[in-house]
Amino acid sequence: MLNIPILKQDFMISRKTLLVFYCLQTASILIAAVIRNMRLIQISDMFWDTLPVVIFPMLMSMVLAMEAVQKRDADKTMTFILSTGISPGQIIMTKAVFVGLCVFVLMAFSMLLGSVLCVYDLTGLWNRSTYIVLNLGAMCLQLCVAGWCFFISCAGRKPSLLRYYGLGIGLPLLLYVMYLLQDFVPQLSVLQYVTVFSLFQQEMFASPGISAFLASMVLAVAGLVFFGLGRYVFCSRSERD
Amino acid sequence: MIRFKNLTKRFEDGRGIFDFSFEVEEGEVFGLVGSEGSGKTTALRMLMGFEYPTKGRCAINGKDCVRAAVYLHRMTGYLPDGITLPSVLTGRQFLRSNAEMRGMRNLENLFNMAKRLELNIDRKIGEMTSADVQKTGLVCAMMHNPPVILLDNPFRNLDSRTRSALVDLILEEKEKGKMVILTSNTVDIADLTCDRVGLLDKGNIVYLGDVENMRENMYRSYLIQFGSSRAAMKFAKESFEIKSMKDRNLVVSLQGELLPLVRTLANYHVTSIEPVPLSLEETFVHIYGGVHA
Repeated sequence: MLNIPILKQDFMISRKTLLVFYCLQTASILIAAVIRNMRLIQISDMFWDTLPVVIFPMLMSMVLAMEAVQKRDADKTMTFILSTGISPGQIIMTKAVFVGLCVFVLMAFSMLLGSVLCVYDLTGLWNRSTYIVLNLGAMCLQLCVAGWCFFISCAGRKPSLLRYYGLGIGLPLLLYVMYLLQDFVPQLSVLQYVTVFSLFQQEMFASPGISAFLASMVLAVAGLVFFGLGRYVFCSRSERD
Repeated sequence: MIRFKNLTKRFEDGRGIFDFSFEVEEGEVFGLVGSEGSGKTTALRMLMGFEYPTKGRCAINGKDCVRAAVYLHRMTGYLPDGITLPSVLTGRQFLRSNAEMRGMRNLENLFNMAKRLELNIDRKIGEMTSADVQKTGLVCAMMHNPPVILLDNPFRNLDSRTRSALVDLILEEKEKGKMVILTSNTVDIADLTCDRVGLLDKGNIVYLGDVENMRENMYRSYLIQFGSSRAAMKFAKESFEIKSMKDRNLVVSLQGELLPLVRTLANYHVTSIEPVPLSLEETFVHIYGGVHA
């Protein structure tokens, strides 16, 4: 079902992007370790909510989904790939796996590094188990975001960076800003029902229960559905005319 | 054999191709000539199965281009128009990964083609000139030795030296019995390489025939420089259509064979003679008598 040469080509094309995000992620975990050692607890909450579990993986999936499909459509690399005799379904499946795999490895890598460096006892509220559960929840969130970006990247008969910037990047960022706003401004708490990011709340994972499990499942299933929709619209581009 | 049978593709904006019916035999180079938006690219994309027909069908060796698209892709080399390719890869990385996708083990043909087109494949695509990017696309389209070659505007951005090398390559492929369809914005390119041409205007084929016939019907213009203005004035009284005259330079138009002009010029002191490219609009007017909008 996967095509290894396509996977290799995508890794070659996106190697600099991957390097940048892996460096940023490593740096953020190392900074977390320093904060832990220095007991700068006031910074910690903000840190947990943002960089390593949400922002960097989210930005990486946005860039990778754009590079794997949207940009390859625009520079005609996709046309060359389509004309090699590999089925469109296999091509787009490989690209979906590429995006998903890169984000998964990034999250797994930072989870491992965080566990080794014991960044989980930053606030004194977490232990290794809850830290791993938090990261698994974050993976489900990232699967959802990556799936959405991939779907938008595949949508449309012709490549349009404007559409991708608006829906693929702009919309998730807007939803994330809404999540932050409702978190900081209690009067805006109604916004939590609008944004998907409220399905991933750290407090839920501190003492994981059925609600954390359900929220993670909803995010993971939504992500898989978006990937599936991306595959569907890519394979039926011509039929829609 | 490539066969178009009443093939129509109508897009939402009303553009497309309408009622295409023609065949391309093995060992034949066929040219689709027309301006931007005339339907050249759509015709090739339909052969690749990238567009579904509104009506009619097209087939390669009896296999429907939509139903057997993936199978046909393995025996087809396709160069899309307006390629830019991933700037972070070198030409070698791009071509090698495409060769791997095709399951090619022997890359000799790839390197030979790159050498003939004078392409440095070790340069990054982002640092290549537009001509080198086009050459990379050409190598990618033809490196696997496909029996069917579809080239969308292959001469775009190429200098005259590479054009000549590409003409030789296309004619060699023809000698090997391959079917080649190429598109162009100018008749001159088709004249150099094709056995038959189809002139397109707004998605319709307005002329379909041998290049020889087209040549006979086609007007050509030549800029002739005489040894003196007196000689030029004397020549202007001959029975040729003079498009313009300035000092000892004359632009002469003629239809069909060049021989009568050469015979007449033999009586004059001529210092230079060079062809004046004919615009597509002029070609349309001369060949099918229509007014090209």
